[in-house]
This record gives sequence, structure tokens and C-alpha cells, in this order.
Amino acid sequence: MNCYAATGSLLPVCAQCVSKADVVVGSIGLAAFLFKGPCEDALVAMGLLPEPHPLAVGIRTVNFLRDLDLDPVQILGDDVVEAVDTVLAFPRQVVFRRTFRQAIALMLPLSIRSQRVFATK
Amino acid sequence: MSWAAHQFEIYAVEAHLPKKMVGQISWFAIFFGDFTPDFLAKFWVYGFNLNGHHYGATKPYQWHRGWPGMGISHTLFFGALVCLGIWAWKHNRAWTIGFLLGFAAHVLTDVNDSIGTMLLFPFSTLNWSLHTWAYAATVKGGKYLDAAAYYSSLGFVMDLFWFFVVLGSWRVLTREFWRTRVVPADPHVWSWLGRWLDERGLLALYRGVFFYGVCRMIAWTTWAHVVARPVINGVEHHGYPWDLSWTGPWWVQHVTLPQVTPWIVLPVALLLLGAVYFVANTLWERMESGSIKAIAWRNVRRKTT
Repeated sequence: MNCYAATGSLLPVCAQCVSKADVVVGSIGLAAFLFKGPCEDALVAMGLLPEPHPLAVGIRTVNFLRDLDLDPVQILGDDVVEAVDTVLAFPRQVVFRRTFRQAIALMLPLSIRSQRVFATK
Repeated sequence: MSWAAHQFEIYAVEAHLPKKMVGQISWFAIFFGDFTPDFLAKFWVYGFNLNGHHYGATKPYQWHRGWPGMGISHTLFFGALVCLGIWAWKHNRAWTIGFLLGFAAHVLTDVNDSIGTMLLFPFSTLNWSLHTWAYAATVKGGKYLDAAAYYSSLGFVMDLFWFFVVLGSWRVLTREFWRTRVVPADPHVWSWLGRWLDERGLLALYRGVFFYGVCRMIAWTTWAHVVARPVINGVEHHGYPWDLSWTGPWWVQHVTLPQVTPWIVLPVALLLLGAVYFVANTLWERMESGSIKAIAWRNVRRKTT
């Protein structure tokens, strides 16, 4: 019995491969989820990424909920919203931060390191 | 196995949550709960071909649902273990209970095919099956024969059933439902996605799984009955023959694993469904420390002290 024969224009390999897409995408997503935190921490430690604000997630979520006309107090609680609003009312001072180029230069042994390290602080 | 039913049941679960959990269960958790069993087991079921050699399970049904094999991925026991892991890791009840409900929906839906699932694992490795349609994943037939068999049998009716369940709860697909019930249950994840997608994009993402289910149901049914020209018992057919009888379709080889008698499957499956909802309901209050508010406050305290 050859009841699984496909038509000439549709090769079986097409669906066989597409059927793996969810597993491949899911695996990549899972790996990204697991390694995202440690990678970000490493990049921050290397000076390649700015240090995130301690309440970055809270700020983002509160703003997002407000954009959707939802009350963040009901969803996240008044303590959280109060903390976020306080931060938004008194934003942190802009501090000097290395640029990407400076951070790369810092890691490469090209010139007088002692000069460069202190000059950037 | 079920096809688009697994996409539709996510919305069905979302639309029929117990009252006290409305707007508090993560839709992503239901999705991942429903997605996980096949994510773990199905890759090897169909396998893949490389340089003319097929890599995959020699007995797909044994691998997919049996023991020994990955049949454990389709057991409530395994779902409960993953939920314990989620709770231990994230301490988030919206995800823990959502995952449990999605996982249970998948496991209980899959009792309909002729292989079924090991509902009482680890106490028993017998499979529980209603034999509503024939399990048709084979090494030679691959995805195509599996799709053709499913969409020529009562599997197609199963997809339609879940499709109409979702349509009957059509509000679950509206922007208002998403805004007021789905987003508040998982605000951090939606706001994280909101960094790249605007509101319309997020809404499309939410509706996307339903749309995907509709597309695969229409596309595979069309392929099986309009495009395909199968040769069955030496006779070429214009499309695979329909067979909406119990255990159909007649033209695939029926495979089974050691099973319990089908007569007790439906009551036990319904009992287990009730038990899952009962457990979720009972644990819900006790998991207050994992509520959205508690998590948000915990994060603020941890980051600012």
C-alpha cells in the first residue's frame, strides 16, 4: 500500500522540515532565555552595556500598562507604582559612561593602559 | 495525535478559567504548557532525512507515547514535575498554574487517538485511549500521511469542535479581552515584548496561534482531499478518502500499545480534568506569595535594597 504518496509538486521534505521549525525556534528561544541574563551581566561588567536601572523592569511595565489605559496600581500594587513614580519624578543624574569604542580600546593592549583606565573615569 | 486542536484549546482554556483566576493566569504559560509535550517528543517521531538516511524513531508511536520512550512527556505526572520546577524557580503562580492547565489540556486531548497517553504514569505504564481516530505517524509516511489520516477522520471533527468552542467564546480573541484579561496576568512579559512591537503587533502575536491553527486545518485538509493523489491498495484516489467512523480512517495501518479497556477512559479522563481544576483551585490561594503584585514588589525590594 502506498497511501502516503505525495503529489509531484509537493515534496515530502517540505513539511518534514517545516514541522521542525517550532522545535528549532523553541530551542533557540529557550537557550536565549536561559543565557540572556548571564550574557547581559557579562556585557555590563565589560562596560559594553550600560548598567540597567534597578527599577527598569518596573518602569517599563508601569509605562506600558498606562499606555494601554490600564491602572498599574490594580495590577502591580501601589507600593511598586509609588516606587516607580518616585524614580520617574527624580531621574538619576547623567553620569559619564564609556562609549563602545572606549570599552573596546580598554580591553586591547595598544597604548599606555594606566593612562587610559584613569582617563576614562 | 491532535493537530490544530492543540492551538485552539489554548484559547478555550483561557476563556474558561475558574472565576478567581480570570485575568491572572499567564496566556504564555498555557501556550507553553500545551506546546511542551510535543516539543519534547515530536522531533524524533517524524525524524529527518540526511544523505538518503532516515534519522528518527523506528517505532514512532512507541517513542511518542510509550514507555520506554518519550511517552512520559505526555503524562500528567511529568506536567506536575515541570510545574514544581517553575514554582521553585520563578515562584510565579500565574505561570505555574497556567502551565499545568495547558499541559493537562494537551495530555487529555491526546487520549483520543488509537495510542493515547499514559494517564496514570508512574503508577501504570498502560496507555489510555478512546480510539476516536487512528494514530498515523509512521517512519515512511511521515508528516504527510499523518496529516492525511488525521484530516480524513474524526480528528478533523475534533479540530472543528475546538474551533467552534473558541468561536463560541469569541470575546477571547478581542482586543478588549487581551487588554483587560491577558496583559494584566503577565504584564512584565507583554511589556518586554512591547519594546519591539506596538499594540497592534502584540495583539497579532496573541491571536497568531489561533490564526496558525485555522491555517493548518484548512491547508492540510485541502492538501489531503484536493491536492494529494494517493495510491491505496493499488488504486489511485483523487484525495485521501474520508472516513468519519470510530477508529478511522480504514486505510492506515492500526497500531496500538498495551492499553486499558476504552470504556473507562472517558470517565477517568473527565475525572482527571476535574482533579486538575480542583488542584489548581486549591493551590491558588496558597500560592499568594507568587501573585503578580507580590512578585513585582519583591523585585522592587530586591533591586533597591
